[in-house]
Amino acid sequence: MTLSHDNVKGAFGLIIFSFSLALAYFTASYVESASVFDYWGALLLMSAVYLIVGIAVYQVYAISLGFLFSADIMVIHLMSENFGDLDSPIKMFVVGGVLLVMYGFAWQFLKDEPLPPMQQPPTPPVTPAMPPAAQTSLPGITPAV
Amino acid sequence: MNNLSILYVWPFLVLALGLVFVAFGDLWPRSGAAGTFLTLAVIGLLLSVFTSQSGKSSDNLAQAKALRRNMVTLTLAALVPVFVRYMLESFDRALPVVILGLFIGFGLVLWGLFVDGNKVLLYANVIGGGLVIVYVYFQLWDLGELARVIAAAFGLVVAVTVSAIKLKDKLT
Repeated sequence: MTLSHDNVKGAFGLIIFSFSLALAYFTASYVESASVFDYWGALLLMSAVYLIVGIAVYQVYAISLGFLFSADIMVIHLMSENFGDLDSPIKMFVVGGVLLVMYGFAWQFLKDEPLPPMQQPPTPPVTPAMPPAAQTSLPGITPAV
Repeated sequence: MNNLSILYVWPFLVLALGLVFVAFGDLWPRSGAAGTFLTLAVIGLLLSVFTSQSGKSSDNLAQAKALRRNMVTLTLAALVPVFVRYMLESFDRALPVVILGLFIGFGLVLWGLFVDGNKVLLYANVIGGGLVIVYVYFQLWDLGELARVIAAAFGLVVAVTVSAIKLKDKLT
């Protein structure tokens, strides 16, 4: 039994996602413990690099999605730890920017799909009605009294 | 948009949904609202996908489409009140900004009610706009009696104007 091409792509995407995430977190821990760089700053830098790599290799979607989802996880983690420290106007602009993109996406690409055309039910074949005289004159048939 | 390029929307959708949880955690840090919302949202999303018309079929693409639409609806409906709350906080709950929030809320609800052929925008705007209106009215309650009068008058004017323009029946 061989795996299908899509499953292999998915497996490789998952591997790239896991290892890129591990690399980013281990690097951030290392640079912090070695007093080279701030932990969150390193994570932010790595997520930016992953984002660029993910966009750059968009033809190979296993690699691209692996890096993009890794960047996602890091950005969400960064925000969950540091979002409360930001000023309200910055939070407003962040949320407003995401809202604008989401509205644009919903407006352009999430329109309702048109309903399929209604199918007519099959009509039984129409048999021509015979006149009463013809019915009585058929050979071998006696009209009911 | 073809099936391959739509794949690249998923990281952004996940990020936007993550922002919803982060913002909820920021707004209600100790109430557990973020965790409760997360649990309910995930259960609701999965239920809505697997019980919807498209979810009944075994077509994975149809289920992914339904999940994507529900994610966008949920994200928009949750982020709009969060945005208005941050806007009010940014301007220290000044009365003109509160009234602007009221405009946004009513505008979204009206847009949702009269939008054609886009159920995502319909549900997102009606739910999000409704939450904005409720939140802004709570804020107006603290601003004194004049603000309450303005808010009530504004709501009445909007309702009457929309009814007069859009819901007019012709007597024959």
